[in-house]
Amino acid sequence: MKIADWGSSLFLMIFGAAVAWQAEKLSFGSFRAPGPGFFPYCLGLILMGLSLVVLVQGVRKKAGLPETGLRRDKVSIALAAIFAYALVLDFLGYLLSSFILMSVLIRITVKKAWWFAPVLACLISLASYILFKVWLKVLLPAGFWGF
Amino acid sequence: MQVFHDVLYGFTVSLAPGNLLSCFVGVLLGTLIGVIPGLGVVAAISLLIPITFKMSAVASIIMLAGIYYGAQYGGSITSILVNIPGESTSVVTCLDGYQMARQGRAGAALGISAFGSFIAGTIGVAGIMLFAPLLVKVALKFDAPDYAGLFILGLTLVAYLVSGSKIKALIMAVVGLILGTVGVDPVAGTQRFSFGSMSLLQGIELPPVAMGLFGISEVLLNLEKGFHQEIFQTRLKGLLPSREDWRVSLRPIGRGTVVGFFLGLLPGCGAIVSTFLSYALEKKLSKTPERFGNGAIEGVAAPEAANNAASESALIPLLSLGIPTSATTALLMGALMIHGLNPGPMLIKEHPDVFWGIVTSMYVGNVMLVILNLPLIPLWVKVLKIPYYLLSPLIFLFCIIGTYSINSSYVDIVTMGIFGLLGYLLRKCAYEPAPLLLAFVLGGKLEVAVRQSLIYSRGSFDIFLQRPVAATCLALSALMILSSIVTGLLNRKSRLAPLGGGD
Repeated sequence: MKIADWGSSLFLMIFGAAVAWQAEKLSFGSFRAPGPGFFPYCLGLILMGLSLVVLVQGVRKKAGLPETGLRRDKVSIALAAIFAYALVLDFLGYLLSSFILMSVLIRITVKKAWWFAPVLACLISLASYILFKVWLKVLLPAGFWGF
Repeated sequence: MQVFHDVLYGFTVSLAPGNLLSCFVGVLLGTLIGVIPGLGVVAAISLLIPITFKMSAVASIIMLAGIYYGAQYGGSITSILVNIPGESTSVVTCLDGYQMARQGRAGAALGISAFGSFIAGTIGVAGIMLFAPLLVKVALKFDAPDYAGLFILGLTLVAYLVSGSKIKALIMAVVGLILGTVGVDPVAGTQRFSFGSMSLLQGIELPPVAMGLFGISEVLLNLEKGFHQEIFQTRLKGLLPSREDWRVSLRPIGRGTVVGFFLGLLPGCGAIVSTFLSYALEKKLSKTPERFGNGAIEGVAAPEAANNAASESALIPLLSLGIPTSATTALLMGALMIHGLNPGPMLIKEHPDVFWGIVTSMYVGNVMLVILNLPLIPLWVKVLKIPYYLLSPLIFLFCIIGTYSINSSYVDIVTMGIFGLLGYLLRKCAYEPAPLLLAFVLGGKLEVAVRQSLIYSRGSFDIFLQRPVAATCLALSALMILSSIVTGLLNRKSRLAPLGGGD
């Protein structure tokens, strides 16, 4: 996993640098009276150092065999569905957004007749609505249609 | 005897109807979660933390702890029947348990793992009752520098004991500490890294982080690989182990309990390591080691006892020192703190009901598990047949509802999504997310301890070396870091044809 080591360590190094840079704006204080920036600043520097080690190791490592048969597309769809769900939840309400999310997720997990995913999704969202909102009284958004 | 008095008091707490019910719900859910391979304990506990907000502190921790040790029972069912570990701690159980099932002895395997777990659980609880108060007496003398040392030792131990790259595990711990600094500075009260966002000002919430890293990312990885579901078709009969089974298994159960109990005390993957170690130990001690891997009942009994004992003794450092030793105990610690309790030496004194209530409830829970589990096995077998296209969307939905219910805010769902993506990417790049979660929970405490120490000492780092506890802890941590760097260098030189990282 040569590329994974390279990419992750470079990213973490930049992240560490960003943390240290932001922490510097907070007060570092002194060793006598460490300020709010003290701890994150040190952590940022440590992170940069450790990532450098991984980077060096990655350079010397030989590339492994690439994995095959992975469905990255499904992962992207599932993640996009969660973020989209978060954004539309307050507007569409729990029932409708959950129905859409469940349909998408079932659709990408299994191949069945076209009606299978929507019907199952409908059942799941109704059942979970009754369980969580009606029975356990969890506050779930009603959305524009008001229930 | 003070202990007897305390234990009796504990039972009055844990046997109160409400607490008894939450114990029951906890162990039942725990077994269920243990049985389902895709859903781990960490994700399950973080899912339920928001639901416990309305419950009393004792009842919620009793329930969450019940999930934790209940899952140890459930995990073995999946290992034996499907040859897939339901939990990471029952990987070893697959070796002989599944073979026993193939030979038509699934009942005996399930039975011995339940009884073995029960015996280990009983001894483990007795151990907590004896050791935790002693440790508390010692811990009351600890000061800020000692805690700083202990926290650092805990984090390095976790990083040192993970299976993959130790440097990467250390990196995860540092990232966890950094994420823990978001929000209000615990000493001076200044805003940090909130970038003007109200949600970030309160700090990053624990449940979305845990659910993202352990729940969502797990489903994503499964989506990517595709699912395989296959249950070994066998008739379950004779759940009670025979007299011969008992004769062979009793000593392994005893040894597994001891191994598990002591390894569980150490930060790191105590429960997992203890199962491997006790399996290896039994194989070594056995007169017929060739039976191992072909359905030896000792190979089921010993590791099952070990993982249960370890999952219980792991609560000792948590409840007496305030140091979580795994991602799961870190979550329990988070749950205690959410309920306004501060795990540590003062807990037993200030909230004896919580401490003794939890400890005795674990015994009650173990009794429930052994009574419940055997008759319910046909039900768990049905659970195993739930198709994955139903299970994985449901895990997503439960994670979303659990997260949303904390603040009724979509921001937490976004946070969970981000950590789901992060967990997925980290595993792809062979980083282990457990140290991150542990450090995230411990971060605030470590920072306070370090800064207070420096304030006491007027800026001199000698304070960490003058106190024996702190100095020992730091020396051990330094030793571990150095040794992993040295072995890393040696390995690289001796490796002729290196394969890629542990992916």
